[in-house]
Amino acid sequence: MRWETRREAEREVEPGMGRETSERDSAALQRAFAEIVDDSAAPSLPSVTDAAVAGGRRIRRRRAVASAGSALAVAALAVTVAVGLTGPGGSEGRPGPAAPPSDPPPSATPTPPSEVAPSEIPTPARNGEHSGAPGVPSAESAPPSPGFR
Amino acid sequence: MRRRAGWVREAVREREFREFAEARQAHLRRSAYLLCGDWHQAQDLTQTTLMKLYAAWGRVRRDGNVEAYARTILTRVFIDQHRRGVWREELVEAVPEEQSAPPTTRELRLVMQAALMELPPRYRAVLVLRFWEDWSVEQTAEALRITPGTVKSQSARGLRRLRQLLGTLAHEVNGR
Repeated sequence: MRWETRREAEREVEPGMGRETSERDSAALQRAFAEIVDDSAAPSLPSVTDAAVAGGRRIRRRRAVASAGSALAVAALAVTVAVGLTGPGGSEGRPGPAAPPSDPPPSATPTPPSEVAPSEIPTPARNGEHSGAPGVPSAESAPPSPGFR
Repeated sequence: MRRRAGWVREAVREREFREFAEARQAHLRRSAYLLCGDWHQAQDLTQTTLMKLYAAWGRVRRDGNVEAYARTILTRVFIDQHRRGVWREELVEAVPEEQSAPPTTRELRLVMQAALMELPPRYRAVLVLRFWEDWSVEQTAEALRITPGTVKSQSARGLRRLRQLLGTLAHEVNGR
């Protein structure tokens, strides 16, 4: 890839950017790269293998320490969470959630569905108000108590 | 017994790595030189690359393509160091004297190298991988963690810029 003049170089500029580079370009560039890294120009440099091995060992050791540390941290976190969940006495000493007193005790056998349709829950009527709910006596319709007679 | 097996494994691993490093470090250094344009920086790049390669040697060896892996590390380390500004241009104490002799092969080589160093590091990396290492667009894209489309466009832009620079520099050299 030697262009002696600017015109020569400009003539070779690709019109399309996405176009594949031609074989000629590729070969010329490869030749130019080979010329740049011509061995004669390279100074005699020592081998880096020993330094690379030492550095690589250091990286591996550091990685091992880091992974051991993170494993330890995860284990410590797991223990902390487990202790926090179970509490000091464990699950046996802790009382279960209290059931409301009106609830029937849970039976082992499932209860058959009731034949009577569930009725509305009776609510106490306020003064001057008629609830209208069946089975709930209002102030007027209620039988007088024996004490009024 | 188990400990002894570990030592043996480690020794084999080191021997294999040393064989590879001794055989391939000259080529790696040349590629590094194309990327950074300085032999001592190229030496540092090669050492860092081999260091990282040794740290991952077991896995890389199992995967197979050690050579390609080494080149990928080299290019990534170069781009990464450039991004972090590890390398700065160094000022020289004296400006070299201008030569009035006609351009020689060496001079043209320097022109080419100067043009290459004018390119942004990423374009340089794409050109070196594509045309020096002879990698495909896909391989280059994978190594540089970019899309094949970006490799194509950066390669075309890099070539175009290189031609322009070479045209200018060659004109200057010829005009002297």
